[in-house]
Amino acid sequence: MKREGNLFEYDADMTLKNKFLFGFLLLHLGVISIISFDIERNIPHPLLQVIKWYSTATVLQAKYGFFSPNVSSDPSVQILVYDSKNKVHPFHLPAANHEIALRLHTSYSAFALASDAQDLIARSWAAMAWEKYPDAKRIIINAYSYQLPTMEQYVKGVKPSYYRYYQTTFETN
Amino acid sequence: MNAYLNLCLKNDYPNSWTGIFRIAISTFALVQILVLYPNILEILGYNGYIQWLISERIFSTDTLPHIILLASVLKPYGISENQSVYLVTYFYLFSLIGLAIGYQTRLMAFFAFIAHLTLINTANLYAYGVESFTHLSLFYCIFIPKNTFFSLDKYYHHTAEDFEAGKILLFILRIHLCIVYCTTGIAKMGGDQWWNGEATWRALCQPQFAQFDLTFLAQIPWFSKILSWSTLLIETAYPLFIWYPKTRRYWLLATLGLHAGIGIFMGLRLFATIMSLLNLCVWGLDLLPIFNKKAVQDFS
Repeated sequence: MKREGNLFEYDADMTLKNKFLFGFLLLHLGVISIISFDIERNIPHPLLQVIKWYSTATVLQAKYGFFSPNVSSDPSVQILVYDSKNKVHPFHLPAANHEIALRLHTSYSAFALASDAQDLIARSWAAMAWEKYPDAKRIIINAYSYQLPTMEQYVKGVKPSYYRYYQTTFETN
Repeated sequence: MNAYLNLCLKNDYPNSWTGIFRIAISTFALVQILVLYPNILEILGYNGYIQWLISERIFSTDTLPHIILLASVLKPYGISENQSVYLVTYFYLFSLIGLAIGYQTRLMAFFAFIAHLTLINTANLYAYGVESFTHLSLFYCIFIPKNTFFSLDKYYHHTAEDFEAGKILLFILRIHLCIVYCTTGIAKMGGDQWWNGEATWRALCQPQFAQFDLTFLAQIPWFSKILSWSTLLIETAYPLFIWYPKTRRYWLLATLGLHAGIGIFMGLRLFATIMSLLNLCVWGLDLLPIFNKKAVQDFS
């Protein structure tokens, strides 16, 4: 390696330090590839745990199948606060900008998948609504999945709709 | 052995790419955290959108750092949970600034990486693709050679940059990007929506992503199909055409076009930005007039 002079000239006479660096990064890519190419089923369980931990620590998400195999339905959440006169106040989780709103949507997707934890998460959202409306008598949380018709159905007049897959109510005494 | 290394690492890519990459990633990460800052306590705080007690048990990885750990250590000293959130956030900001100006570059990159890991493990529930690519970029920043271009380290130490380490990092990052695009393309091929064009229709017309009313696409399904097929082609064939020098420029443009479309029409602006930056830094610098061979040589 020529370190001075022509910046673009390369001579593969690698230093020991860089041989270690190259070896480590190749190993790193190998580990990531096991998750990325979905070949983990061939790996024994204890080693797979280590591989998963390593890939989460270094690249977070090594499975890169964004929007695959299909584009899932858009999830949404509605929080309705009822006051003592039974007047309804829609409550929106605060999001100062578009990017924060995107992250909230990501959490709605996680909510849809975490069926065991939905009641706990809904309780958390209700607590936030209660903070804003301390006099609330009832809070209803609905979670919906957006039903977009196919292009063919849409042309024939089928309209998009929402399918409610979760509802819970919190009441004060 | 040397012949193989030469095959992998020999290229005439501007050595200044490490400096550009370092500045681009740290500046991007700074912008990203500042964009999230207005609701930082809702996202990361003890009583945020979802309370720590719930999010930590269900969505975080036990063996990775979580703000709850720091908070439990600092609480006896009168520092509240939310103050711990701010501490980690400011530490992250400080590290990113250090990385951007190239002061103790590797150490700052390591600090930024650990702080980002802590933030993301605490707010795992809200993370999407952009966090993954920010994180992997920060991971690779740890291996950026000392005294890179445009850094305070270089200014103070006056020693030459280790170009060899830069070449190694470039090679690894290029392969990583090829894995990313190829596997996402292959995964999409497994679904019927990407073949019949419904995927583009759904991605562009569902409320979460829709930025404009594009429902007219239903009238021209062939166009939706072309867009879907183009996405499959650009992603799956990425390793082949981006690596081959004669097609690189066209594939890079197509990939940047794909990300511009994602940013403009689906509103995933930060995601589109980080992907475009990664592509430009590792494949496209020699195509930009200001970073061409002569300009960089003149600069150095």
